[in-house]
Amino acid sequence: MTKILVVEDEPLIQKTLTLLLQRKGSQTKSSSSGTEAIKMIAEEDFDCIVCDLMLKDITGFDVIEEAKKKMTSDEIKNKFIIITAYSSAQVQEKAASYGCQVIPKPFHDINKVINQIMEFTK
Amino acid sequence: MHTSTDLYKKQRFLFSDKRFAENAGYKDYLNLLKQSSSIEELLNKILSTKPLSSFYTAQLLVHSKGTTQCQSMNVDRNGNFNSKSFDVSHFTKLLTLVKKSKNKKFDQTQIKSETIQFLGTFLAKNFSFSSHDLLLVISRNDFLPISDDDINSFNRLTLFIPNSLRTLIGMSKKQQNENIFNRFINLHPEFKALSKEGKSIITTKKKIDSKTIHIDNQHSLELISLSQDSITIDLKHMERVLLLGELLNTLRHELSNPIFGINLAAELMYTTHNEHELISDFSQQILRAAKRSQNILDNFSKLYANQSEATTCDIRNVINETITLTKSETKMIPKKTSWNNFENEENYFLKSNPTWISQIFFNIVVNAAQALTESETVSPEINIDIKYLKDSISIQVNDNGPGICTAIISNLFTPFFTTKNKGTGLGLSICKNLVKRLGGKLDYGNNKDVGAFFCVTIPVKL
Repeated sequence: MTKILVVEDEPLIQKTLTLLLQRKGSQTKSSSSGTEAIKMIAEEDFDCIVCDLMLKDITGFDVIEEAKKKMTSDEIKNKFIIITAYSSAQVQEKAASYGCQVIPKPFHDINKVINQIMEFTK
Repeated sequence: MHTSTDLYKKQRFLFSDKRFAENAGYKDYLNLLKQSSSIEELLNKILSTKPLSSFYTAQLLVHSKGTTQCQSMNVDRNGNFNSKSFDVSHFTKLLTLVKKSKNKKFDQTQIKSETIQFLGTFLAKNFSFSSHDLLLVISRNDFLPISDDDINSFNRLTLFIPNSLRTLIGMSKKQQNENIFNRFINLHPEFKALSKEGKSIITTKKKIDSKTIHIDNQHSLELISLSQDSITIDLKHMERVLLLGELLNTLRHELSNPIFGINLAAELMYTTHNEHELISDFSQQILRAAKRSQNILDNFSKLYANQSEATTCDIRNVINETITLTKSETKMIPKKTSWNNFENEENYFLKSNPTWISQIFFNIVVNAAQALTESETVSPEINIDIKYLKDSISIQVNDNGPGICTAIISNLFTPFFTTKNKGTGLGLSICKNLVKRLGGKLDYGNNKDVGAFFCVTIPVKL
């Protein structure tokens, strides 16, 4: 079973994403804090981590930096998906430096995004 | 036999014995030594030298020390010229690579980056001046290796170009200053001088009264004006608008998130429980309200996005979005818009500053509403007529209030003049200023039948 971690501090977005991903047959856990997410990533293996950039405590990029201690850069590329409302050129560049996909918020089609995430985990 | 270094040092010798120099095959050196009028010309000269005839492209990267961007210009043998801007991090990486390399020759695998425009094998040389770092790169465009002869010729020839480069960079620095100057002039016609470290670089007018604003470490703007009042107004206005733009941007991002959350949840509810009428109906309404909220946020941010540049905008959007903005100030007063003379879709589009147009229009409508409210007009109305006049668009705001009293009409645009109990009395004078900057006209007066009118005419091209 695919294991996904959703890191997002906006409660409704977190709940909906988690529910929809679970409906697709995955085991999805969620966290609204970056530091908690780092702990979870260190303790468990996830197939995919959907991570918001602007979290309340730290940024999504900080989470990736911490995750690098456990994962190779290939794993980072293949596991992290960044979602964010702030998709400026600088953000795109930084995400590209990790090799990560960026999905800008708000999503125009939630179902498409869910399918995209599920495809990504294969 | 003179070495190339001797030739370079003895420039006077070269020029006085030109015929000797040309016959001896030093024509290339002479050519490079002569001042080039542009970087494009210099790069072409390098390619046209005999020893470098197998090289296809030449590129110059220029970085002004202390800035975050670098310029790149390149030419090729087909006469194509390209100019681009890059982030300085690309340049720094390349510069380090070149400085470290012994023979300054590279192939594509070493030097591949988005800043180097061509394929093949390359020769590079860096120049370090007090204010700039430069990188000259020439390439063969095939994958044949670079010979020692190539390297030697390149080194010899490039000994002759630093002076030319210095002058060319100096020129572009002046242009840089002019660009900064012109950008600010467009924003505020009262800014008349640009000075660096206290020394004036560009001045257009004698100063009468002045205030200095620091832009960055090197540049400061001297604001020159005829009266103390207009300095204060423009600074206050500029600050307010800048602040507003930033606030709106932050607000937009912060509000977007919860609205998006509401959207997602409502959609989920709607698709899961659409057999339950109440839930189905209300979740649809929630979706619509969330969508409307997001649109309002997007539109307002767009309206205050571009402060100084002319952009193509649809006058319908500007008018309608601004009317939405006035809602809180014009609560009970109906506003009717009528569009005249717009025969084609393209007539609605103009190249101007939508932020300024919005501000002017907003001010006039709110003034009309306040006049109507204070005079307790029965059945107050604001009628907005927008007309297409080929070279311009006119926006006329009519009200059915008591009109403008003749006693105050001459003071209408005087800064700080107001008949209201609250407010700064700056609205109309700012309007006048903005209209001037748009290259338009502002007419006002009393209607023949009832009430006052304010009419802004804006040229279709700023």
